[in-house]
Amino acid sequence: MKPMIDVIAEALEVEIETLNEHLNDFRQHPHWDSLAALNLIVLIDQYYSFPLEVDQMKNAKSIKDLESLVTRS
Amino acid sequence: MYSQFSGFKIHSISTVCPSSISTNEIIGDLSKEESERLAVNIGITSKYVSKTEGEGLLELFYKASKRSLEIANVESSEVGLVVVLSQSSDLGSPGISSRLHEKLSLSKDVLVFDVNLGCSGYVKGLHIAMSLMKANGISKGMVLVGDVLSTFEMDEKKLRPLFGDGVSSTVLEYSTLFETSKVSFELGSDGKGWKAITISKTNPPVLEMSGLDVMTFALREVPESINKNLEKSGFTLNDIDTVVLHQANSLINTALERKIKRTDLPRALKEFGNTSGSSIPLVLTTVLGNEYFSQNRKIILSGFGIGLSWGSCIIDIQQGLKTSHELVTGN
Repeated sequence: MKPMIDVIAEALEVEIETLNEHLNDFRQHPHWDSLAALNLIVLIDQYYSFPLEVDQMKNAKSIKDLESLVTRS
Repeated sequence: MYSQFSGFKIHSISTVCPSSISTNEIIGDLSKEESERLAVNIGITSKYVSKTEGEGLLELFYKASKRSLEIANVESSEVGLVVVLSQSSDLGSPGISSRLHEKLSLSKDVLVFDVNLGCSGYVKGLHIAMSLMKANGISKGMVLVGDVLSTFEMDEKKLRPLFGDGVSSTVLEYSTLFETSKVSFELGSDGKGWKAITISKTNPPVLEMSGLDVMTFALREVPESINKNLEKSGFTLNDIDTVVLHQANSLINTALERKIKRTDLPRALKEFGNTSGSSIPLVLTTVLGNEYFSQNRKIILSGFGIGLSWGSCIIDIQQGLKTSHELVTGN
């Protein structure tokens, strides 16, 4: 399974290293915008077959939060 | 909801867009780089937008409907049903259908009405027309779908780049001669999601859309609707020549193509953008066209959007379907 940090980096279209400062608040990354959010929903569906809901994404603060959401399913 | 019909032939599909082009080179106050990134992600570089009075919804529908009758070789006096599906009429009431009735000089012995629907309108319009034609023994009918959304207020960065103007007219016939021709529908609605896309009743109307909610809705419902339809109809994707999805934006369409496991699907997004209910007909006329329909085809059409509302149909298109596409200039 693709690590969540890789998936988020792909959604943001950035290098993984740039996320090191934002492990606990990935939505504060300077590249985070509505397009990145759309990409993230698509990529989580693609890599984890998980139908991420908008509220779930908004409530997830850290990368770990997202990870545990999709692995719980 | 699943239903099946037989005995219908689609004679013609005509699409019309206004001739003014609006490009996505610079969007709102985004930089050139940001605009390019957005254009690549949504897959839309330009779209046609209405600029003058002569390019209003009624005029576009009139031109499309006249043309579809001409190429189908059907007289307006033969038409027994006209259903118009749109959400951008300039008049609250009566509907576009009443004014088209006058302009097309239709007979009084005809059923005409409007339905307030957007991106799922083409599939739902075919279903409504076929249901009524079969129940009432109406031989010839027309389904008119489309919108002029460019005159609406909307978010200049997130929404303006997506939407183009366009309409379509489809002429169909019900007859025992076409009994071997089958169509099956799988239709759905979810009012819980109505806030995801709204159009206000202000002047000008304001279009609002939550892209995230639409994305999750489309990923959840569209593949399921297509798969259910295939299963109930006893087909697999291998039996289908092509799938024409509503042209929402590249992100959604690519994700849907991956989920339904067909990545070779025709698109008209780049040139036309998201043209609401006319996006499926625009693919049929501008990407597939007369040559594609010179032989019998079994295709899937899938629309989804405001409501929330969605529908898919598996339809036999008999060879010789006539298609036409025009750009029109107003006054």
